[in-house]
Amino acid sequence: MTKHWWKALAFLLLAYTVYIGLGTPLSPGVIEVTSNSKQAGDTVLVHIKGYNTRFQEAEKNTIWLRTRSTSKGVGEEFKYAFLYPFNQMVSSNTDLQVNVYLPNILPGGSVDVFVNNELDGTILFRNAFFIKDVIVAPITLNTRPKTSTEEENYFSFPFQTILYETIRNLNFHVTMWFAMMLILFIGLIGSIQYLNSGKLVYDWWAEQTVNVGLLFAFLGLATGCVWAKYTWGAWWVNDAKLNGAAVSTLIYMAYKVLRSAVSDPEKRGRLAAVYNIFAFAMLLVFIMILPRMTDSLHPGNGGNPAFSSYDLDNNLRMVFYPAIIGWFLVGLWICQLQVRIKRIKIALDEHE
Amino acid sequence: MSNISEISAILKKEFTIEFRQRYAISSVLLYVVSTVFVCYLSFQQIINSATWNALLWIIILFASFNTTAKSFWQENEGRALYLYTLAHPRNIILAKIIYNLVLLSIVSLASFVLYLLFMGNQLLHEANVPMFIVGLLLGSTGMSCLLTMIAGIAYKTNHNMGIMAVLGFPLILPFMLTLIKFSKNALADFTWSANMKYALVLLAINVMVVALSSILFPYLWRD
Repeated sequence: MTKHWWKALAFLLLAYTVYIGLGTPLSPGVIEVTSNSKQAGDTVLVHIKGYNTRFQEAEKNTIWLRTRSTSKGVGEEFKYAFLYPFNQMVSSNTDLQVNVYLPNILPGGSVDVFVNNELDGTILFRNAFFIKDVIVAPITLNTRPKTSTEEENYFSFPFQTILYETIRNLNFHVTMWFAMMLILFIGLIGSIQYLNSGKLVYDWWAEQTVNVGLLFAFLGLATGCVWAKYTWGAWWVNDAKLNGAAVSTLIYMAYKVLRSAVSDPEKRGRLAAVYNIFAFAMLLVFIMILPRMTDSLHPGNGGNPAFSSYDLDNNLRMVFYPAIIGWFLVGLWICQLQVRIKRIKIALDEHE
Repeated sequence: MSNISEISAILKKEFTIEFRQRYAISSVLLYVVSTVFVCYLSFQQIINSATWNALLWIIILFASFNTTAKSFWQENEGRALYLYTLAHPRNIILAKIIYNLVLLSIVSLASFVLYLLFMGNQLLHEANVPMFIVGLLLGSTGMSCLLTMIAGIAYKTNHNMGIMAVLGFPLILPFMLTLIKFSKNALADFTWSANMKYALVLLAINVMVVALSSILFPYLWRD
């Protein structure tokens, strides 16, 4: 058992990842705000659509709208106006309607909507709509209402507009690429060891790590495609990071072609090891350096913040890091089994 | 100083053979002339600078694959063994890289001139021409560094051209993309300070590849 603990750990970590990663609910949030008119001077009906919210169960919902000046003079503060609705109608836990009067003069035309109750806390929906024909002037109107700051805490993933439920893909897509890099790094060490010692077992390890690395790369591409479809609207976009990932996959497929072109095991190992070291260096250039130099939609590149800087919150982290370790250990396990199969095959060949 | 004398001796041998046979340079120049002529017949003129730039680099890329694939063509088993007894493998690969660098610089400058003659030069009126030529030389350096090593691997597999393309194209892509961006900026008349980061990345890739080649080639060369 002392030898096999890491396999059990891998299984447990992945089971945990799948269970918590897919089962955890999202925090409450607002998906959509619609209003029957956007004309300044009108009293309009605003419909707020929540997600995982408990408008009906809550004792008291407080709703307010806010506009803010878009520019400020030197030494001045931004000007805020707060609008209070009336006639609140709660039809379900996720549907809320209010009437609100839109004044003619405001510090800005873009409306942010706030909803507060004691169960969900305060939810902000930015830039819900833009008021038509509003006169923009540096005035202030009302103050922010006093609300309960208490909320019921439960284990949840952050609610992000556009991402919504797909945020949990972070625990699969990103962690698979991390695991791929770790596995390929093990392959790099195997290749260096083979060149130094000439023992074929290192070459077998290098070969299998590339196989497993490719498996993770394909899974990473597939999960990435699904994510791109639901957030950017297309299965594939022409983007530095995505193209980098695709070409890195090609580089490692070329490694397999190279192996199949040579029949002598010693020579095959040597050529493959040399190419593998080159390939890893180019992989680093392609997915770590080049995407940071160009504009990219992908988080973490071209001025886009990575997830960690603003919304890899502690709850996501609690799944993210165990998932990387889990995938990595499972990858190692597959490599180990393949190397054993290879060893048995060669022993059988010699026996015959 | 035996390293330098070894490298210069191998270089002298390469250039003497090339000067006597004129096989590599004449075949690749003929290739470039015919490709540019085909492009001229099918495009007549290219007004879009991105297309102009990309087409030139594609022509140069294929020409350099052709040139570097011949790096080891004359080293049959016996001669390779003889060379192995005479010189350190690191010096052999460095000499081959320098030889290819000279050839590719000639080829890329010749392609550039031919391309200008056939496809028109009005795009260069608003371009930073010295920077573009530096881009050509940086490109030749990078391609000779990377493709010489790939040619070495392909030579050892005995399926020269096919394996060379399969291994070479994905590996050279990061370099090519940066290079194309650099020369596109040169065509748009960027200043040196604005374009410097691409030049530095190209140089860094070159240094990395030369270092890896000189460490790894000895393992490749011994049989």
